[in-house]
Amino acid sequence: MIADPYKVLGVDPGCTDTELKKAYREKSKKWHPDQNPDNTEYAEARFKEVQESYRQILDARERGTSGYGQPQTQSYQQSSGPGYQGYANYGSAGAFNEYFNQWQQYSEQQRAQESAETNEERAARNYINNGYFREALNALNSVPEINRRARWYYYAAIASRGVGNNVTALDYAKRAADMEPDNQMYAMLLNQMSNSGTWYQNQNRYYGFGGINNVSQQQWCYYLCLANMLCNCCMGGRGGFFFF
Amino acid sequence: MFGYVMVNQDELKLKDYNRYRSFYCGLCRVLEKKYGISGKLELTYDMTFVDILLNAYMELPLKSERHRCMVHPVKKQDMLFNEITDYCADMTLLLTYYKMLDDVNDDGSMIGRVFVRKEKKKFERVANAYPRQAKVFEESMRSLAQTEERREYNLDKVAGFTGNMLAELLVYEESVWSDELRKLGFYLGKFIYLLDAFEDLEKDLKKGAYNPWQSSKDRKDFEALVENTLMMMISECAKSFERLPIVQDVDILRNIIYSGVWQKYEEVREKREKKGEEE
Repeated sequence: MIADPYKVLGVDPGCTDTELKKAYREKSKKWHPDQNPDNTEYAEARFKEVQESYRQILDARERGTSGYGQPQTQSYQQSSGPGYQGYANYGSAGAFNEYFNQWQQYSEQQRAQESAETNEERAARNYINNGYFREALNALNSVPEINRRARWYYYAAIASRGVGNNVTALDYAKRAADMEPDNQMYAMLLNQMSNSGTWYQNQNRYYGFGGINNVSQQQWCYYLCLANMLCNCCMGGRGGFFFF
Repeated sequence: MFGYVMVNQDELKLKDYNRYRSFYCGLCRVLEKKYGISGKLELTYDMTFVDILLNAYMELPLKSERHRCMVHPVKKQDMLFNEITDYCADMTLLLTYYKMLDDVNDDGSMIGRVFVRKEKKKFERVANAYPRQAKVFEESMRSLAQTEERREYNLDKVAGFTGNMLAELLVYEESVWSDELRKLGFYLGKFIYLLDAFEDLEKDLKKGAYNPWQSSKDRKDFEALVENTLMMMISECAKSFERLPIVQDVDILRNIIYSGVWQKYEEVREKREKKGEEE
């Protein structure tokens, strides 16, 4: 953790996302090891610090906090659009750990359930904690279908999400929540997985696009039809190749 | 490749629209110069998006020129390009070549055969220049064909191959943001595959050909299912975009990601609705 990520990037905690990104680009360029052949070691350390700071602020803003535990400022709310509960990361582990930290706070219920886990479930949890989603799925898949309980579906959902299988993940999350409707963890996971569409539609409106159905067919369409005609006779149909 | 990732022109400021066109025309020109006139036909909205996105991420200098072209013989067009445009042209050739190869294997497509024979040398040169991308494209195309062959109805499995291809395509060179770019490309690829399949559903059913939506098409909530699934994909793509440190051309890119990508979907949906009413 960087103690004061805003200071590293030289921005105000109330800065807009655009200001944040500009500052990040500037500092990254300044401390890029290639730009500092005379003191690479020092530059590399600064460069790393800049990367960490930026990601730390991003994670905090996605969670709706400021990066060091203060309530978010008004200007930030206005600048960055609606926040979202990001927790999954196809291909990397970082944000998943955030999620795990969050749910480890339900510790009592959690610990009781963990102690009753099967070997495969426990293995899956360890793999997931370290970002090894494929390995987690392998461990889980060795369990025959009749022995798959809510816990199994819960971990399978998180691991599927981790490898980018988000449709399967949502199915599994539903199964877990259906099997044990009283379990808060399962309900929370399902809620987070179902929410990405809401976040997206809020973004759409925030940027003034007026909903996903608010798209009209325009001049482009003319060219498109023309192109499709051309394609159908010369390219075999599929795909919208076109001329201006 | 598919032509789904386009701008919503109505919601775009004039200056952004002109800039979008300049990218488009720049790519078109590079395709023409590098790969002859045939390049123009392979040119799509999708690759223009990649061009603008990678340029926004890398902020390399762009050359601006004005030229006439075959489609616009009278009025000179503004064009923007740099090495990223070259890259996009090269990737267009690679993807088109693999697609044609696939068509030949599928149904002995004549056009495919002609294309493959004619462009073989160029293809090999480009594939050697970008072994990382070429390897992923080739493996993904092969696995996709096998997966479609065995009529896989798990949407993640079958859409993931196009996802992998776009993921690799978005990494021009490795950097600290490679993972996020791959993620963006991965979900965009899944979105494109599933939308393409949705568009082809009737055609495939009529032919008795495989379509990933076939197993769910009779559900009462089919349309909502398609829309939700597509939205799951594009919202992951959008989340990655918002994390990336991009400030250049964000209005164009957001227009595409939050709105333009739905244009084709709406078109297909409306067509289907009308047809349903007639029946």
